[in-house]
Amino acid sequence: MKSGFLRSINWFGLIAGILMIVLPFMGPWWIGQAGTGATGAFRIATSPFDLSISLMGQPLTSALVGLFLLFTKIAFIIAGIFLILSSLLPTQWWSQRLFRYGVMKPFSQAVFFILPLVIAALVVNVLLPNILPGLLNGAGLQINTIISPIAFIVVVVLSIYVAYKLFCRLLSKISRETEKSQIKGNIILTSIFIATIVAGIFVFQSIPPPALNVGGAQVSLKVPYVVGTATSTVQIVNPAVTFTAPATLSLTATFLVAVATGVLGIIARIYQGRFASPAPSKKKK
Amino acid sequence: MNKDTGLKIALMLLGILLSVGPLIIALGSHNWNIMAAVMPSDAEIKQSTDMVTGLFDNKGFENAFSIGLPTIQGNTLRVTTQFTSPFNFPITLNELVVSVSDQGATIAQARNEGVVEIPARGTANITFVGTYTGALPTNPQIQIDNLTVEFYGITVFAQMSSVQGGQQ
Repeated sequence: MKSGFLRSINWFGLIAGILMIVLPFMGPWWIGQAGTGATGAFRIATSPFDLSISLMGQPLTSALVGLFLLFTKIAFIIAGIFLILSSLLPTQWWSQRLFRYGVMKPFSQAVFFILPLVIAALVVNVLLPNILPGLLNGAGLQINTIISPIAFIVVVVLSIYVAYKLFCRLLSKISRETEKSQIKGNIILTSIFIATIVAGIFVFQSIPPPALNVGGAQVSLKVPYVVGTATSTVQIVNPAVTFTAPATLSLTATFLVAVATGVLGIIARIYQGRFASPAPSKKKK
Repeated sequence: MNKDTGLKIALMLLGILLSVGPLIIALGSHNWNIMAAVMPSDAEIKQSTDMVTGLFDNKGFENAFSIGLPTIQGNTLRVTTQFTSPFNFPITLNELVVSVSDQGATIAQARNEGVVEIPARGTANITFVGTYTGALPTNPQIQIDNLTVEFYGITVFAQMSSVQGGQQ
């Protein structure tokens, strides 16, 4: 009987649930810094549960953002507890619902954590070079110059979102044991989307930043996409002053734990299919 | 309403509570002023602006130098100065090239001896070394030609003409 209970546990879900309770206390997932040293001139250390911003060592906080992150932390821990309970007792009537509430949260947090970082890099590298000259030279926003970069950013964001949705659909099909040919088609489609996004980011990473002339100053802004280092310069002609600022962006080991938790959640979701009871409508029949 | 539907509604309400809760608490505690809830406090903004004050103009270096008595050994002129940092953050003076003048005439160009680390609002002795073969200057003045300063890993190279220091 004891071994029967152990065999009935969704171990992947159990481990993912424990990691979900620990994860919010493991520190930032991503650190971005302009300059060097302990704090840099400007530093952001963030995760879906914490945000720390400092300008020359002076912290900057927002009450609203702080509360949102606190509640995200609470929601994540609750989802972790639900996942543990439903993995320990997968055949209970409440189990499937509690399981579904929490199991995909780590994966979606990881995906939607990366998304704003990609958007921010696109805004600095693609959008700002097109809107800054007009804004600072008094010409205002020129719609024809900003429409293509905005369209490009929208396409990238939608691609990531569609890739995520395709992946979720694929998982759903796998856990419902759909025909293999359908699963194969979904895998190919999802892979193409993800490969296109990754290739696109690599291509954009290699494009040199356009030189800007803003009020007599040559500005060259460049930030890496999510991880990496790059150097931005601002060159003022009269008086001749050149600012050179290195920017370093890095994902931390905690992010890898988050990805591992997300992968465990995905495996747990597939594995949970074996405990799923027939749909209520079928039961009635 | 069966148990499953009840649980479904409870989970939905939990999700709504956790999403809307922080918004209501943050706005309520800031008199429903969305800007006050989102933006950093005035004290934090003031601290940050105080840090960068004087960074983007030359005024930070005006009157920052006081010059001691120069010395000559062979054809090497040494001018010792005391630099009082006007900045609220530590800086590293990598290179400082100055024109040394006496009685209104430029007599030598000199540069700092080694990299100098200066704490926030602190002072440091900077010795400028140049080549000079004339008589000992009686009223030396320095004028910064160019400088390379580093703070928090950001490097600033500036070519200036208006920044001067006088004798103590």
